[in-house]
Amino acid sequence: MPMVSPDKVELMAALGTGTMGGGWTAAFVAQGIKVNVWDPAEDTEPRIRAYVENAFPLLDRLGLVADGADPGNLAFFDDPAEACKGVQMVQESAPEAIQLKRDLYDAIDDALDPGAVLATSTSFYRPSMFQPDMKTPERLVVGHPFCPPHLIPLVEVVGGEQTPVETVDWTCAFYSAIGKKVIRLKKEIAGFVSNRLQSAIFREYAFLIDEGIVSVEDADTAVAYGPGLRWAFMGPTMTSHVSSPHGIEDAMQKYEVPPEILQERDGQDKWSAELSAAVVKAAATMSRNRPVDELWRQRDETLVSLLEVLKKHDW
Amino acid sequence: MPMVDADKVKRVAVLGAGTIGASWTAGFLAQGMSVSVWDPDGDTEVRVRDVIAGVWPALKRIGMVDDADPDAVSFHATPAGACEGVEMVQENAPERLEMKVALYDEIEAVLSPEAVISSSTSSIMPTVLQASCKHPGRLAVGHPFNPPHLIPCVEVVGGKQTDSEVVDWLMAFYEAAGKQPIRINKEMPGHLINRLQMALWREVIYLVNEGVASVGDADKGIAYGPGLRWALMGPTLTFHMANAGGMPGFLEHFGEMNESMWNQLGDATLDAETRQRLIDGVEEEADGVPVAELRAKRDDMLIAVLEALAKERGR
Repeated sequence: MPMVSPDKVELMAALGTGTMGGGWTAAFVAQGIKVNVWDPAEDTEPRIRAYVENAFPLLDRLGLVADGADPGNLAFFDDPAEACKGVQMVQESAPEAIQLKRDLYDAIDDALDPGAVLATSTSFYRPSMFQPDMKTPERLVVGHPFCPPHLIPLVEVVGGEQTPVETVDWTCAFYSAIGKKVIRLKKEIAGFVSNRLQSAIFREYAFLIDEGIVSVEDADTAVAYGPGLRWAFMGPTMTSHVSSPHGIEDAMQKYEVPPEILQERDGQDKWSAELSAAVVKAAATMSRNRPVDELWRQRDETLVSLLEVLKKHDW
Repeated sequence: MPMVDADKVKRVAVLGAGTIGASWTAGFLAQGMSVSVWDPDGDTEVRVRDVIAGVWPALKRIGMVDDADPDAVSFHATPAGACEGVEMVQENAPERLEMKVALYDEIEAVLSPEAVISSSTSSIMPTVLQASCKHPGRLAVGHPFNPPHLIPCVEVVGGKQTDSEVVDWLMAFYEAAGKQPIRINKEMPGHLINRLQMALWREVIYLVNEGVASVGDADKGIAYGPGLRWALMGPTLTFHMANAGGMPGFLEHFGEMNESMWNQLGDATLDAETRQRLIDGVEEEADGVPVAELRAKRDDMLIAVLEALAKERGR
């Protein structure tokens, strides 16, 4: 059983602090949780301290900074096992390589308290893939965030075959308590829900670009100035539901989904070299060759403004 | 060649004034054009004037020209009457080929050969629409998204006989009218955006049918996750920013995983059982809120989102 009630977590470990782990660290610290950080990169401490400092004002605008939370409430470790001593929960955001994650779980197991929960940020792998080799498989659960994890509310939670339901419950309650929107998968599936959905869109998108139907830039415009605006606050089924004054039943009949689109998967299954080259080139053009970290700052500012609006409208 | 420069259009006809046509009418008026409306319904004038009055404050908030006049609209008993002297026609008749063909036949008798006809069709190819036109070169598709006065994207597609200047002209016309047109280079069922929406929805339906997530959770998986980013940018820029190394880094680290996911995406059909599951699921998600209220809320949210994004993009 987890060590503390899910809204009383005081000490966590963040293992791996790249794009995902850095955002997670900021989100946890802003909730007043102390975070032990481990990452093999040399510049981890200054990078993460700066990241958390910069994230605080944004999180504050969204009401996600707890009273008295201190951006300096961090400790840095050279060894993942050391970072895990005494923590109530671990958020693992190591690179997406199976063996690397397995080795890391092995390395920390002895240092962890028996009830400590180990959540992995994996965006793809089913938790049951890791559990057979683990000493304490029952502590493992997936808590998959979206980039940037401190701002995007969604977290997907799913347990493996050996994860007790109480641990999945606890993990859902923990993320809710820190202000996240949690969806709980009822079954394991590769890519979970949201990445499969992103993939489905991108697969069709790649097909249309490869077929010469549209340029990459126009395809991006189509999403961001079209359905993307609705998807910011409404999923696809609700979008269909409100597309007709009489709701989804009527929408399915009246606007009838063209069967050739729904039934045939004529999108492609490969990243062709041409497609890769086209998207690399278009990404550079669309971002006017500005560095990625500058794009991140701008995206995060815009996301916060958008989230503020949604919050104000009580959505 | 079209009659006037694309940014100098003064008079347009809107044929068919249901949800889409009424919304186009309001959007054109907000850009300072005068609009001649025809619709076979008896109550058209009252209904369309109501729609215009209802959306006018919103159009003011998201951008309107100084001399825009909500009363610069006239109502006509016949389509030919509405088309006299106009420079452009936006046709929104029901999605039935024979109705549209008969309508073109009727209006071509009075239209100047240079007047452009743009069809809002979401499902009929322009090559088919123009087959029996007297001046097929002037016809193209300008497909909007619901609600067209708020969603900026318009898909522009020409048929085999469409003059390429007409496609260029329509792109420029919609852009001058405050839209974000995208050019579709080849005719395809569903053009581009509906294909992307269907690709997304098909995977949602597959995951719901498989028991992975509820309809409500799958919707949340978009609206609190990738949907927030898609309101800001399309899938390519999103992936460009998913990795510190930009698009090349993304392809190196996640390209293979992406392909693997493309191959695992599911199929779905809208059989009776699936339809019922979607209806029940969305009913639970809507939690008793009637569709009309959801639609009004959607439009409020869209305006707020567009305002927030315009402010950020203007910085």
